[in-house]
Amino acid sequence: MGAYALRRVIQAIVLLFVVSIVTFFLIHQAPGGPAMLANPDLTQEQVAEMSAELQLDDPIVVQYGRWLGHALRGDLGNSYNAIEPVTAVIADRLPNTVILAMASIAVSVLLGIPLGVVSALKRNSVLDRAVAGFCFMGTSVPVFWLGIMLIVLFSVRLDVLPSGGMSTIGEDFSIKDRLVHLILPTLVLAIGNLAELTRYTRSGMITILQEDYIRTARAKGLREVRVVLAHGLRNGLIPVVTVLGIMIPRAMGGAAITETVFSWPGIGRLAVESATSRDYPVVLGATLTVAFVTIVFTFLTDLLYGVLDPRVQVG
Amino acid sequence: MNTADLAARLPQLHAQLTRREWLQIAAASGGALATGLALRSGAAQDAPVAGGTWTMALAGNPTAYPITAPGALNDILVNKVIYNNLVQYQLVDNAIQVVGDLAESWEPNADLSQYTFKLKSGITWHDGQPFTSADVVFTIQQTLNPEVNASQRGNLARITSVEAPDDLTVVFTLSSPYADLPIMLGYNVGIVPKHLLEGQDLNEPTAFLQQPIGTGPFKYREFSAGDFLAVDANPDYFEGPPLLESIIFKIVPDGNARVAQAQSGELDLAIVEPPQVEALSNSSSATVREVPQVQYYFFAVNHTSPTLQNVLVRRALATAIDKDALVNELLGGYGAVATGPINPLLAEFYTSEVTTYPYDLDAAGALLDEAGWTLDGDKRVNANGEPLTLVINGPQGYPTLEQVLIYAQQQFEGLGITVELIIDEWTVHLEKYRTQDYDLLLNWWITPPTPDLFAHYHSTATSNWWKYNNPTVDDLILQGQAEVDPAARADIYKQLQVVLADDLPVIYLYYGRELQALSNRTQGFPAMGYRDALTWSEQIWVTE
Repeated sequence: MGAYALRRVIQAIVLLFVVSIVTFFLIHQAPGGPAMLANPDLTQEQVAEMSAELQLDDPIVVQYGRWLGHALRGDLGNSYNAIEPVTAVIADRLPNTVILAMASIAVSVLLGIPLGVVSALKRNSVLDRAVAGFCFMGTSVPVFWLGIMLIVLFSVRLDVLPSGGMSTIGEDFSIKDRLVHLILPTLVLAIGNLAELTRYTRSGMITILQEDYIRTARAKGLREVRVVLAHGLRNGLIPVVTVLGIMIPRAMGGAAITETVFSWPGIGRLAVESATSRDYPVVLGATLTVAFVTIVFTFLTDLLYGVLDPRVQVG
Repeated sequence: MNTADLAARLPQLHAQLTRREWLQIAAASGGALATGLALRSGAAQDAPVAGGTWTMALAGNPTAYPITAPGALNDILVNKVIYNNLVQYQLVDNAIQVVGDLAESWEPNADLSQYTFKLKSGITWHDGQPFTSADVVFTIQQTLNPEVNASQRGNLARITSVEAPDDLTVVFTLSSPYADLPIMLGYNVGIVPKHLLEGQDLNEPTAFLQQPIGTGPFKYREFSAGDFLAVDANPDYFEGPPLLESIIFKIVPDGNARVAQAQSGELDLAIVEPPQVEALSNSSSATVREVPQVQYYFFAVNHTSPTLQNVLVRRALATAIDKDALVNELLGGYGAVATGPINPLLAEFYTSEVTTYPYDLDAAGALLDEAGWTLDGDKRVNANGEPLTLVINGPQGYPTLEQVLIYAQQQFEGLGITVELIIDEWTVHLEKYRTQDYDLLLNWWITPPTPDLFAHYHSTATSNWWKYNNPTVDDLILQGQAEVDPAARADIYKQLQVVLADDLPVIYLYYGRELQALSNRTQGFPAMGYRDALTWSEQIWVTE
């Protein structure tokens, strides 16, 4: 187990290196420079000076080497847009995305798995088809459209929910206020994952429920609930755990659209905005953060896999 | 005022007017009502009341620091309420006037090469320290400092020295006569405190940014990245305490979300596009009004391209665009056809008596023929058989402009020109603009309210990204800058407009109007572009 963990750690380090190299080269290849140079009021000389200050004219390998040297010492540089260290910018925004991601994953899991189980049990029934239809819509509907539609319905028309932000500005901190602001973005972010989880659970359960040991359990006279939950679900959850291992990091880094529509100050939106404005240090910082989170969760998923399925030997 | 109400009461009228005209009536009456209320703040029905929080939207994170302004427009907006300039702009009878802000008065010397500004007395910084001429000198010197990436350095480059003979006097000496120095000092040149910034790195004043200090009607309170920036009223403001208790600059990056929040009353001000006006016409919380601004939209022309150096080709392109249709259809009527670079708001200088290019495809074709580009089948070719091709570049993220581009492409291709349309991200677009990597490029200038065209039109100007070179124009521009007599000056600029309309350095399209979705509770917000209206933030108040 120790050797396995060590191997994973080395893999992780190598992976982070590769991510940093690819990201660095790609974002510098993108035409156009940092947005603060794109200010029409600046003269040509000023643009040239500022470009030289940022050392953007050096060969790309040199620039990467310089960045790496600082990064290895924990210095990710300063954001061009925010006059602040990159670590501070990310530390500011990361928790907000974590909250949103966890909430949406919780909703997806708490609704998706039961829906999937019920669909599997009542295969091809009206309920199953209705759920399937809902899932189809859930994975097809564009997030930005759904977000705006919900805002129009619940904020503008019905005026029961806020249309964006994490909290009501100017008011003191209150859990209730935070939760109310969390409702719509969580729903929007959860729908896609919910649909996927339902389908995965359903197909996983269908396969399991046809296994011999299920038939045995039923033959033994065990109550259906126990058969399904204790014997079936535990195994049926294995593919679901794998999918969750991907969904969590995806919710962390890929919530950019939801965060933009709901003005949620998260890291997904930060990554997209910094890429668009070529805020190179923040792009690197945000990408590496998401990569790191992905690596951690993939590792945890693999461990969990080993716990759930004794046939699988981790390490 | 609701289209449905009108329709119910006047069935015959309903049948006669088109839907668009209804919307225009509704918008105009709503706009007139809001404008009327806004302009009559303090006078008529409702007397101003103090108190309340006013919220407006920003598209991105602001940095409350006028010197470098890395966040461009977002910074400019919050700086308007936290800091003051020496002068500010006022709209009177549809003409822009310059009035003192920190300055009491100013006086040029005989040939406009030196200006003496007298400052108002008794002004204090938000931290209680007295404001003096030393702060002005510090701000201007640092703006001109080559080590500092000041966004207004180019605009103030003419200043060779700035001195403070006493605490309330500042003397500017210029490298050449310049009639517009006072106006330029009101263009995003917020004065910063010397006692807090001297000795700091002015490109990264991290300590100062924890608690920005200005002289403005509102004091910085709090900034939550990605979320909002909040300011509180400054009770010691030199014009008297502001009416509002606080202002929230809410960061709402998505345009549709801004409209939704304006509809629901969560935002007191959002700037909207013509297609969004309809969505707001039924809102009970907000009304849309249009206000003029000093800006013009145009197709920039790359004058290093031999094809476009021929003025006949430029005139042909101008004649192939139906500018009236652009204004009426694409802009929903919110705009006016542009005759040249000087905006009608600069009333003493503007003239419409110049060559115009009414839409006429046949005439456009004839002009191309005359220029040596004749039709070979359905393609325009020159004497060597080479086809006429144009690369047109536009910025991404502006739906109205994208429509203008597509329309132009259509029209030019109707003339037999092969058009390659490229829509680029803003940073890429601007880079191509600066390096003449285009044939035509759709853009706009929002300028200080001065008729001076040096920065973009003079052949030696570094912001002349079209590489336009016309000695007559160069001459007139310099004359205009140095002319002391106002009547003579106005004449020079009228001549200049005539020359520019004939020579068409760029293809003038339209003067856009700014569309403000204002909450019905907002009063006292001047009916001018919001960048300038915000310099009067102490006058805004809310009913409730």
